[in-house]
Amino acid sequence: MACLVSYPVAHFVMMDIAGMPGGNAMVQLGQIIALACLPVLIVLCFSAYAALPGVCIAGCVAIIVGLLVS
Amino acid sequence: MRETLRTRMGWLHGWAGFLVGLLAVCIFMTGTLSVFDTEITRWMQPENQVPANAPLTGTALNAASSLIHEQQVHGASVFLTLPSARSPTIDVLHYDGRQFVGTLLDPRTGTPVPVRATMGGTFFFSFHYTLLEGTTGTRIVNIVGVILLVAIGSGIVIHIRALVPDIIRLRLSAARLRGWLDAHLLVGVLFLPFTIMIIYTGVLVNVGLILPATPLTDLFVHEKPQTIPASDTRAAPDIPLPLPPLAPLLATARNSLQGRDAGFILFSPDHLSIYASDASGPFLTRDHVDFHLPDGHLLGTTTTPGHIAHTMQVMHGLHYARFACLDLRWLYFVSGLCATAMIASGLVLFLMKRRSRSGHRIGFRVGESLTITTLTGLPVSILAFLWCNRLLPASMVGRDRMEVACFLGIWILCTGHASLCASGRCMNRAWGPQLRLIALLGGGLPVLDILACPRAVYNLPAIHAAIDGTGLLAAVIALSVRRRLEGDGK
Amino acid sequence: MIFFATFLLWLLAFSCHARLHPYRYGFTMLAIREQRMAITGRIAFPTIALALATRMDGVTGVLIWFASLSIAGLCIALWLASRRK
Repeated sequence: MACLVSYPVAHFVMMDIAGMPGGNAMVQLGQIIALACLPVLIVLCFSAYAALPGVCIAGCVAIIVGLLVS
Repeated sequence: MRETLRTRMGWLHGWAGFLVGLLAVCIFMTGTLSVFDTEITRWMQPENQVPANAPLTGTALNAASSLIHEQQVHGASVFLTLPSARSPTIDVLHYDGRQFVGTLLDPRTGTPVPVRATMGGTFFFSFHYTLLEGTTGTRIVNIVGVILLVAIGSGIVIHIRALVPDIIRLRLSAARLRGWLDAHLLVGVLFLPFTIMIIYTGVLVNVGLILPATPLTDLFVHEKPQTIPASDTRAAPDIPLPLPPLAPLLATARNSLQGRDAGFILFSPDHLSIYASDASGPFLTRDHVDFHLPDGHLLGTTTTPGHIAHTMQVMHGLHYARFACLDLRWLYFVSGLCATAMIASGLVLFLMKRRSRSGHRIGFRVGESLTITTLTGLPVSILAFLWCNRLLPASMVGRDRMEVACFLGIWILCTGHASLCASGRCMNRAWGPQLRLIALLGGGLPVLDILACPRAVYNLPAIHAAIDGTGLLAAVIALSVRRRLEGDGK
Repeated sequence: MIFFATFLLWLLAFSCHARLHPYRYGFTMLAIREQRMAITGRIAFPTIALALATRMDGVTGVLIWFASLSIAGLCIALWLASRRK
């Protein structure tokens, strides 16, 4: 569950940065930042899951909506 | 609440660490050996006795040009690597579908150096990042890297309160489990900066495989095989254009690359490109200078400007460590060994903690046999790979494939042995023989090397001493672990 | 050369650290003045090492600084463990 939530978030971060003007350099910047975020997000998500299942479910819904919209 | 968090993190650290740790040990062990891949290749080709820093002459470059032209006439797509401090020969290479093969030339005279066919140190390098499975393997390695970072993150959360105060704490006289835990924590915390740096930069090298710059929805679309449009297909010229003298081009390239040495030359039908050496600095660039063929006039210099590109280059440079001097290379090697030891001790701890509760379960026994296969089976097969290099006849056809077959065969045998012992519930009997085998093969490596290639040992003592010494070190470690195991069994 | 200098400075820093945790590492308690000196040493030695390493070798210097941290820590941990065995 933590991976399912974190990976799309990291991917969205990368795509948002990559979408900025700057070409391939911004893609690289996005990848540098997203890769640093990904493990942190997984750990945070995993630790938060016990206490905040509602937040995680909301996150999942947001990601699915994001996927459908993108 | 805090205890709950620690418990949850403990579960994540244990399971994520164990499941990817089995592969991570293989990746780290072969990666550590790859720090000296060129030196291992030299050890595995004892016929190559060209001294380091032998001067590069115009005669040798002309001989290389002739050879390249000859091979281009036969349709081969070749490139040329120039001599460096680590590899003193001029190499005219092409890719045969599995590895780079070709002719080595003496940089002083241009005469070919007859060497045995071997996978060399590049075998460890390709195993390290592909697991011998191509792009799929690289993707798996990247996923393992990310999960390892997760395991490290959760480990930090578990240990955060004692991270600094206990940074140099090791209790050898404590209970066995406590001793292993201290060793795991000690190596883990002290080598944390190196471990995080090497995993992060390693994943970043091929980050496009796990974080592609395409919308997520595209990942589910089946990729169509690429077809080359008919208009793009150009018939290759029948006879390739002759090459101009390379020495003046190298001098021009050096000036255009701000004094950086040239590393290798690629040849296209109408131009050639001289690339900056990876050893020229921590920025691993692909800056190059293009020259027109056949007259050799300068076409232009290609560099990658910008802070982001430089950041990426430095990340790649830090991981590959091709810029590193010998001292720093040894520090990478020692740090790599300690990072491997950290993961290995984690695997052992995971099993020790669960032995009393789940020792009888089949899952546990499979886990333990896989751990034995990784921790002792892999060193056995690496040493067998080196032994094979010395024992197989130098002129044997397909000996490089035979070396790999031997490596994989021995590893499969070790797996079979560990599985057999696991089915008989006598795991200590599995560790013992494999540790003895490491001691035998590692301890015997210097003897075999001296007996098989005395001239090479005499001419290149540093390389042979280092690799044979590493074999001896493996033997000593294996013997001491075995003695400890026997002590525990009594 | 730089490695040995930074290694030595890290050894000194870890020695100060060990003296600041007397119960963990089996030392006698320090007086207040000595404690202040140890705290200063624990901060100053790595800083000097970092300045020295970066000034002389740039990126390589930073790598050497981290490597000497790890290896010095390992050496002092082994020495402390053998002392208490």
